[in-house]
Amino acid sequence: MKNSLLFPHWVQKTGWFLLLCWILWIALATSMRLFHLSDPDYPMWIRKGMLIIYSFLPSIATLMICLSKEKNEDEYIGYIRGRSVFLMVVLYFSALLFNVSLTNVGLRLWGFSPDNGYLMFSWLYTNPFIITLLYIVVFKGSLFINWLKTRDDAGQ
Amino acid sequence: MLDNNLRVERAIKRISQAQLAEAIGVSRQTIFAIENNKFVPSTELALKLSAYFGKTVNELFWLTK
Repeated sequence: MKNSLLFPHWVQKTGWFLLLCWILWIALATSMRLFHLSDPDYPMWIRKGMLIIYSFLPSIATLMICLSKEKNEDEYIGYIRGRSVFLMVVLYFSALLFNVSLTNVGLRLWGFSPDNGYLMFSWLYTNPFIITLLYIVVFKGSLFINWLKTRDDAGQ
Repeated sequence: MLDNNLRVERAIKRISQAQLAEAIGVSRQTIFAIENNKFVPSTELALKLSAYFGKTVNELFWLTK
C-alpha cells in the first residue's frame, strides 16, 4: 500500500484525542444531563452545532486515525493495513448477511412474513463511524497480535 | 513459496533483529516476519538486505516447492 498517501503520524494522535474528547463529552452529558438537544433554553444555532458535533466528530476522528501513518511505518505495516481492509470488508458483509438472514428467519418463525426483507439496526451498517471503527479494531488488533508474537524473539 | 537464510546470516554477523532492522530502516517485526516466511519483502528491501550482508539476492532468498 502506498504509505505516501497517508497523513503524518501526528494526525493520528489528533484523531485519538478528538475521539477521546467525544467519548468523555458524551459520557458527561449523558450522566450529568448537561445538555438536551430539545431543550428550548438553548438557542437553535447552539443546538444545531451540538448535533453536528455529536454526529460528525466521531466519523472525522476515526477517519483521521485510519488514514494516517503509524509511528514506525514500513512495508510490512502496509501489508497488515491492506489485510485489515480485506478482513474489515469480510466482517462487515458477513454481519450484514447474518443480520438479514437471522432477522428474516426469526420474523417468519414468529408468524410475520416480511415482504421486502427487514434489516435490524440498519443505522449501524450505514454509519461511516462504525465502518472506520471496525477497521481500527481489526488493524490495531492485528498489530497487537503481531507484537505479541514477536515479543519473545526480541534481541535474537 | 519463498525461503531465506536471513537468520543464519544474522548469526554469522552476530547482530540482533532490532539491530538489523535499524540498519535497514524497517521495524523489527518486519525482520521477524521475513525470517519466519510470513512476509515476502519487496525488491527494494531484498536488495538492501543483500547489500548489507554483502551477498546476492539469490544467496539470501530462494524459491521452494
